[in-house]
Amino acid sequence: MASIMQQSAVVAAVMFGATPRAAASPATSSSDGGDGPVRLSLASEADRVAWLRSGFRLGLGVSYGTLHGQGAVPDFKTRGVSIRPGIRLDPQWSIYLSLQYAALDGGVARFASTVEPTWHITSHLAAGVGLGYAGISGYSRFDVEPVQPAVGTLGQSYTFPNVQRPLPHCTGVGLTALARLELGYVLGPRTRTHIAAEALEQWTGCEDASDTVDPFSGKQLVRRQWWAHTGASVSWGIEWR
Amino acid sequence: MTRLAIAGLIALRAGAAWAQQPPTVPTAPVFEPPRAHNAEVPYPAGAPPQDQPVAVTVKLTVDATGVVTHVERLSAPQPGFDEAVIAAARSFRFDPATYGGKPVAAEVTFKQTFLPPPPAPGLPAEDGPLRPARLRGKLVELGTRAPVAGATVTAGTGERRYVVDADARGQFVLPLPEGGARITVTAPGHHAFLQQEQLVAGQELAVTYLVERDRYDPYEIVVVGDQRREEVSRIALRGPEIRQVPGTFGDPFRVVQALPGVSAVASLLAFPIVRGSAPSATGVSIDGTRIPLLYHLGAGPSVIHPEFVDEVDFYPGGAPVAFGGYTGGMLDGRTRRAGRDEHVVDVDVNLVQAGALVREPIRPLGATLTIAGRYGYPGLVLSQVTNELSLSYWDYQLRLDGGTPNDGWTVFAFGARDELDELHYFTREGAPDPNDPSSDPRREALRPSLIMSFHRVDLRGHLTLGDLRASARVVLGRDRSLVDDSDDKPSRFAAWVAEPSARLDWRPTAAVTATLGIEGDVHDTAARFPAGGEPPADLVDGAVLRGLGRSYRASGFAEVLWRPGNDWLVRPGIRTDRYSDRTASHASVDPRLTVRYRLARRDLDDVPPDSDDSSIWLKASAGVYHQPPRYLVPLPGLDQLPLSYGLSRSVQTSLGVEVPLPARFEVTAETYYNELDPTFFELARPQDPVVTPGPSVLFPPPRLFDPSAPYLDQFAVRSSGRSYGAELMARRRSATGIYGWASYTLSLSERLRDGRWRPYDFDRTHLVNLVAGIPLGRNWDVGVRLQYQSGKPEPVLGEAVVRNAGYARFDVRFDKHAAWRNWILDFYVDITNVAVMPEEIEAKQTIRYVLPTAGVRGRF
Repeated sequence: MASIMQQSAVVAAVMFGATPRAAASPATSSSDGGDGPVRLSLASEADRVAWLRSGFRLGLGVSYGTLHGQGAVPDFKTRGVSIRPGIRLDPQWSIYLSLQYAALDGGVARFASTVEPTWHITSHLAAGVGLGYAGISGYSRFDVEPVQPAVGTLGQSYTFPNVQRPLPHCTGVGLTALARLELGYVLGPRTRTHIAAEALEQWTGCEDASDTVDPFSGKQLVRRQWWAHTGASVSWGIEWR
Repeated sequence: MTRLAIAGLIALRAGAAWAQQPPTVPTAPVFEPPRAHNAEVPYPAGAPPQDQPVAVTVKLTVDATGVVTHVERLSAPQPGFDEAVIAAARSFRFDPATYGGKPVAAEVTFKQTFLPPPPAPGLPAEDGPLRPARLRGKLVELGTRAPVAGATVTAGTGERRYVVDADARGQFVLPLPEGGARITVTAPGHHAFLQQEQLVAGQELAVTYLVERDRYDPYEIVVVGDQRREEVSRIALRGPEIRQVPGTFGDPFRVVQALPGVSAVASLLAFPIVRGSAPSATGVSIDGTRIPLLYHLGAGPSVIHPEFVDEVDFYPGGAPVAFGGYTGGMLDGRTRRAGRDEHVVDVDVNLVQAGALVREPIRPLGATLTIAGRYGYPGLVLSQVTNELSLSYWDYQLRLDGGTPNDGWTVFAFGARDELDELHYFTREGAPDPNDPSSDPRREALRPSLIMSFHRVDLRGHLTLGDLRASARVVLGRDRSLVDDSDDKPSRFAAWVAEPSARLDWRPTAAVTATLGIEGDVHDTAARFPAGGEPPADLVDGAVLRGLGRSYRASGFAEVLWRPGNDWLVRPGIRTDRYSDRTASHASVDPRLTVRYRLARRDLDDVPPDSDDSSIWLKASAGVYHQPPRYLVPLPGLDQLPLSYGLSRSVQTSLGVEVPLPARFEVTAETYYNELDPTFFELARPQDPVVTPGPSVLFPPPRLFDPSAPYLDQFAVRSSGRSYGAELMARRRSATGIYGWASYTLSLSERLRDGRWRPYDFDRTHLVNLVAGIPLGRNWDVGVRLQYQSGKPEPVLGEAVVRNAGYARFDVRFDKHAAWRNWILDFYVDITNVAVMPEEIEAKQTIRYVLPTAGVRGRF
């Protein structure tokens, strides 16, 4: 078990870029018939060249950012994680599916899923744009008087166009678009790391479900409103191939 | 997540039950892969020029005689090289794979790498300088330390090249000149190995080279033969189908949620609703031993380490007579006997649990010991979201396998414990001191609300005497549960369990197999209530108290599996059970019949022509099934209701067809009609009055809660039911290529209430599943799963019933395998509900959740 514990200690080294290399000590000369020292293969190509090859990639990262609400829509700070599966198409182009999950102020959550074509400008620098699906979950304020629907629409689901009086509760999904600039460094044939900056725009179709149920359909009456946010974030991540 | 966990708790508390009848099945046989005699591919004479290595990967189907019957190219087309590999592979000869000691067909992958020819014609070694040094080496596989056979070692010194072939143990000796040498090792199915050595005259340089395989895949070989089709509705899952399906935590038993005919109370709750039956009507066992608590905390992984589970057999209906005591489906995990010389250490750590498994031979006993355990800490993650709830669990397994696959014995001990803590508010004794805030009698603290644990020791042996195979088993166990309904006065339930059984299988001719079995069990259940001896008014009232004490079951079954010709299979069987406790005794007789008819044989390239897998089958089954009255979902120590309520019964019928297609695809279609009469203790809930915008209740529901009556007794209603529908499934089985299935189920489940047929509480009409596993280059595997289940009924306006919105869920999983000296690392990311799709748990309660998990697994 001791050897297992020692070996488990190198798991992190493998995960973060260590490469199987030749043993540091030279082979010993012997004529006793026993097995010689263990050797791993030398690399057949430079790590940076290996990363230019096409194939599957998976990145994990953490991010920090802000979302600025337009009009009276609330602002948020975001802290989250990202999971980025992707395919390197050729030395210049990749396409990623970025999955982001973030905690916002006040117990609110944000999630986004975007498709991001990425251009590798140099071996270190890449730029991409993304378009996809995003949402907010769990925004609630109880110190705000709920806006009321227009006369004659009581008892119906209703969309409030004026965001100067935002809904007190918001859970919903919508669209997001982003631009991303990434600076990366190859750690080994399997692993690279990067930092990235993103600018984004998000439109969320908020829903505020009331306690009232339509007596004939059984469906809840819902207040709706579109919220727009402009945001930016920085992130750090590890990527495997 | 919090709401869902609470929903799970509510579901758990709604009742408890699990059957008492462990069906006896034979011990799982051992699979031995095929071994190649020759696997050499000559360099193709007409190959195009190459300056890079060219790799060709093929899948071979090896029949039960060791002959390669089919070769399928898996890699991208590479003219000139593909033909050479396919032609050579057809002439490979193997020792056939064996399953349970019998030769069976199997699939293996083979990869040939063609290296470019040397850059310049090296001078003949014979004409070169003296070779006073020797390079003596051993080639072993990186990660597994297995010898690399069939390798070629080339040493380059200046313009000269020296070549030697390693032997079957991966050993070689190569005389070389003094000085530096560049070493290259090439072997089929492996990456090229490169190294630089310095040799000294008169000395031997000994080295061990670790050569990396092209692909590290624990499921590289899969049995494709001997899948005799003897049931109507059995779905067998193996290999990556039970380990790498997204959204299952890599747990074999959770994959059942993605099969046709299975719906869910809620997407994360694992209790299967099989063909419209109650959760308590579907049995779960491991090698026939009943598991009183299958899923940790109702929504987590199962209580058995995945490494033990070799195969999962799922019977949505038409289960054989060896399985008794359930009126719905049957789920049986099959374990694998450990080999005599197996050494395995498996460590798995992720965001919610850590576990380890160690397997070592014990030579003095002639046995192999396997020990495993896991500890789950989902509360650690949950604490980032809420401080009002905490969850934890652990489980253990200890198994000793002795003897041989034909005459052997097994001791298997396993158990688990789950704990759910909630924030409890309570008042201390004594008056508060206004000057001392710490004397405030109102306190809050995390206290256990639910603790469930069980332990089992399964002792079994089997013996083969010619055509006769005899097996016997006794299972001893202890179950415990603690339930505290937030009043700091927990109630405790416990049971002792003893379950003996024996079985004989006799095969007098190749066309007939007869089976005879006897089973029994004794459960002794006791309860301990809070101080004062008064049970809480809700959970442990009425039916629960009457169900305490000792209960017995004695059962017998007989079955014949008869193949009257090449195209027919007839399987009649009968089962009888007698149940008794202090309130009543009941007996049941369950006749069952399965018939299959081979409609046509298909000539498929990749399936042996005489295999059951190459035929179009018509199939039908009919049978009677009984079970004792049970609560809705299991709690260890609190599962069976008093027998005075009588037995539940179902009559299951089904009719279907199986059509094999090329490339390992298969389409199955099945219709079923089940009569459920009587059903008992299904949800069929009494209802709260409907809240409407009006000043009063608009339409009162037919049955209101009666606050003066025992809570559980209001669910204890006998009823009649029926479920019917159709299941369509297209599936591709492969351990090395793309695997998965797409299925659609049309399901209707109804209960007769107040003279009218109404939808069952958990009835979902449309069930859609798409599961796919895709192996990629560089040891990546990607899995996707899409599930849609239409809404279940919600009572509105009393008589009227609408359905909620249903849910769709999309899960993904990524696996990366990497080798590191003498162990293999698997890094994985599994995301459940990746798009955070909404789910309406019930009226006015919609949740969104995502469960991302990342972990590493090391196998030594």
